[in-house]
Amino acid sequence: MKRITAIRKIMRRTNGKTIVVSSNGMVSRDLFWSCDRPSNFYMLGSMGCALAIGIGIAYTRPDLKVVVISGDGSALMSLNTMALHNKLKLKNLTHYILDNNAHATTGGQPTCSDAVDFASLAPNTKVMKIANEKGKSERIPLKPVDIQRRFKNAICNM
Amino acid sequence: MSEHINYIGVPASGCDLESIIPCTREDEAIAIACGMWLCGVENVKVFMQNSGFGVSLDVITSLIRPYGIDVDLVVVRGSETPQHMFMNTMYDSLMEIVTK
Repeated sequence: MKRITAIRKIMRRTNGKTIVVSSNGMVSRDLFWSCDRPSNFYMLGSMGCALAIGIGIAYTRPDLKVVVISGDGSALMSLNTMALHNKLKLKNLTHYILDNNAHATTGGQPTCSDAVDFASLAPNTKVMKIANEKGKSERIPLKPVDIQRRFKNAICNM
Repeated sequence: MSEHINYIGVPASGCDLESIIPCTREDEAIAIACGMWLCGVENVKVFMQNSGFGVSLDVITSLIRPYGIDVDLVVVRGSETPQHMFMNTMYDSLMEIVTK
């Protein structure tokens, strides 16, 4: 399955009232180009921190559904946060991990995701196997501060 | 009347603040606080030892600063022991650089 196909499948399960936080690299780029919404937070740097941002949002707003989309490289950098996710068991937070066993954004270098059973680490953790694609999507043409203002305005009006 | 402050962070010796969430790392605590701030919550501060400030340089420089997120940090100085001396010496300059 291509990454963008997996992202479209995830987004079909959401609506305009769902908060989506995406990890850096191709995951955010493909989310932007396939299903951009003000309620999407594209985390462009800070690899490994998307799940923590999602926890902060889900903890503060139990009335909203929060979806975090990570690549396997980002998920491996947030194994500690997956332990916290398991501790907190926030019912409104779902973590999707798009796993191609590679760092696709930097050229497809292998990861050790095949040595971890992500879904066993925390509730509402769903692994989707995707292909290690060679092509790269265009960068997101938004400034981080504009992503923040648009997102904050959207969530504060929900 | 002062607003009640919620603290979130990683324990540091000599600091009696308690975290509302049992965070594993300082950069994780900051990212959680950023998520709260994005929801309009203004009364959250993040605490850590200055070694954790070192851990957090990426999230400070690639999330807080470029996204214009306003989260306060409470940073406690490390003990005067060899493993903390370098950070204790450079901390003030580092903080000045990242907040410029």
